[in-house]
Amino acid sequence: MDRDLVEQARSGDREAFAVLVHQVSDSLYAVAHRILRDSGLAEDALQNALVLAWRRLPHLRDADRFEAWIHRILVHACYDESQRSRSWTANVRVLPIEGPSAPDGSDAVADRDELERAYRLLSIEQRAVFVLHHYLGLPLVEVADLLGIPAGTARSRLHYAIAGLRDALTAEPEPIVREGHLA
Amino acid sequence: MTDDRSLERAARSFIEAGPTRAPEAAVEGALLLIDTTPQERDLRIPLRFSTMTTPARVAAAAVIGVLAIGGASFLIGRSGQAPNVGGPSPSAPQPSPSTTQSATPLASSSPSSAAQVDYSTIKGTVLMEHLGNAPDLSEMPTTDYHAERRRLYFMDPATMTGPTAREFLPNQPPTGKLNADISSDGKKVVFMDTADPAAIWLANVDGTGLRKLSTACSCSELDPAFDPTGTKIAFVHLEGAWRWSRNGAQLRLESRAGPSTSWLGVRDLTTGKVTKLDQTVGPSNDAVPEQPSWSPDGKKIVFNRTTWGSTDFPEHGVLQIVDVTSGKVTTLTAQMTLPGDADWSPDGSRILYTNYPWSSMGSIGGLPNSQLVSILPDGTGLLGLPAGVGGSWMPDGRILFQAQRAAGGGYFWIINADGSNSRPVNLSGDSLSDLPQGFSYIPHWIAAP
Repeated sequence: MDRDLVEQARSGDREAFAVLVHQVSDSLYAVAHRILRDSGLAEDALQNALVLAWRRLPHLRDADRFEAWIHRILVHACYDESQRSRSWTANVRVLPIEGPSAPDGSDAVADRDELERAYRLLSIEQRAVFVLHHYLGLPLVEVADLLGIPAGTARSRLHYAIAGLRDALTAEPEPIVREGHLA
Repeated sequence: MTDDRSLERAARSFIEAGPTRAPEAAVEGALLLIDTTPQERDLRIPLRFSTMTTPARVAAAAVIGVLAIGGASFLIGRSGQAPNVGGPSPSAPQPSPSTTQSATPLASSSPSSAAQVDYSTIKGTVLMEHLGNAPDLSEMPTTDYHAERRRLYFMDPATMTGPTAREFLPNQPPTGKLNADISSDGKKVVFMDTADPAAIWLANVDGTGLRKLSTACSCSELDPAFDPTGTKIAFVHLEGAWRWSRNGAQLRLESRAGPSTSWLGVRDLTTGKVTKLDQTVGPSNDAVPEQPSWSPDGKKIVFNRTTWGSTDFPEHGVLQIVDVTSGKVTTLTAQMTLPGDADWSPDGSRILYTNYPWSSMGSIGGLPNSQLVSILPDGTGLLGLPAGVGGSWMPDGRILFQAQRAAGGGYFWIINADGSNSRPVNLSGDSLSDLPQGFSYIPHWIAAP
């Protein structure tokens, strides 16, 4: 990340910030999408994070930390989006549906479906740690630093995320459910 | 996939799959918002002033005194002024004016922060459709099912705050209310309830004269819309099914006993006579005509026909126009995935609608981002407008809507028909869209008599 661009943007240069936005937005969106598992929510989180980052940029003390700083803002924007979404998904009816058709019968497709369902059962905080660690490849210490949480908490969230995935995947088959529509 | 190593490998592969590029429209939308958003800057006050001589101290005290007196006079002078209704603000967020595919803009739909627009020159009231907890925060926030919490509220554009919202006909009828329409003279309101089967009601704007228009029938009647004279309504007749519209989060079409059919009808409000528009009959209950809106000459009605998939979810839809006299139905060619909430402009030149309409889909969150668009009545000239929902025409030909969350959402905005001059109705109003205060989603502007 170009330190000069960050400094210029920090002093109010919108064009410099636009350049920065184009440099980081792909990564931010990819992270948001993987945390939220929803394109619309991820777009909202991305936009909210970019606008908030612009507003708060003058408070950024170390220009070299811009990328980690804006990812932190993004993760919090994801928390907000998740909260809004959950507010109304909470009263959605759970409907029985047929199992996935898996037309090619491949284990990979079935595994992916299972993982998707299991992943959605994780808390948003666990997903954030999981994505930052496994997708961005950040060491847990950096994940903790980025999120502003103790390293032990980050480690614990990752542990429980993995455990949650394992439990969901190895549990006895239950009636397959899906969220109802909307909300 | 049970041992830790293979699980972690599979999980890594799973998390790596997915989009790696941000949608251009989202990034451009954010940059547009940033264009009008100021940065937060610390107010820097030196901890210690440098040593001053006595004459300098006297001079400084005099300057401070003059500034204090001047400032107080200014504030006193302003206190009697009317609130800023929809006035421009350089710091106000602007809805993203993302233009849809194959759009033919009438003009630039970019919001302008420079133009001065005084919406207070248009007198009137906003009737908003509302879902969830009361906007005055008088109810405990809950996501539990409450059929009656689909309500209508009046809001004064000069305040646009939850505590000043006034509920229309509280507990009458004792069900929820939705899909309201206002007569062109601004004196009457028609709406549907959330009962099973659903019925249509009429009342005066002042809350008097409430009466049920639907007669005893195993059918539901939905989505009433006044004709330009206010003497007739168009509505949806739905038989053999019930459209769940109770709290918006559980929209679906449920089967009911009896023959399955749906069509648009016109009811004379004086005689009660219903005229069935035969050519709007749905081929089955998975293709229901919905949300009619009249052309200003009263000759045509635009509506959307939603096709409900096997999962109960609205799968796709089309926008259609029926000629009231001949009954001929035409389908507009420029379509979005799920058009709805159509509203014919007061001058008849364009039809405003929403792709992924909230009222049709009955929801607030977790939906694809909604897009306002308008189209010429012949199906050409698709014009992309800001990301938003619940668009309705104002009497002066501007558009009132709620912006999507990331684009100044939670507040009602007004734009010109070409998408320009985006302005919030009230800069100091409350957010009207969150769990504690419920979710306002379709505003209607009632012109002052």
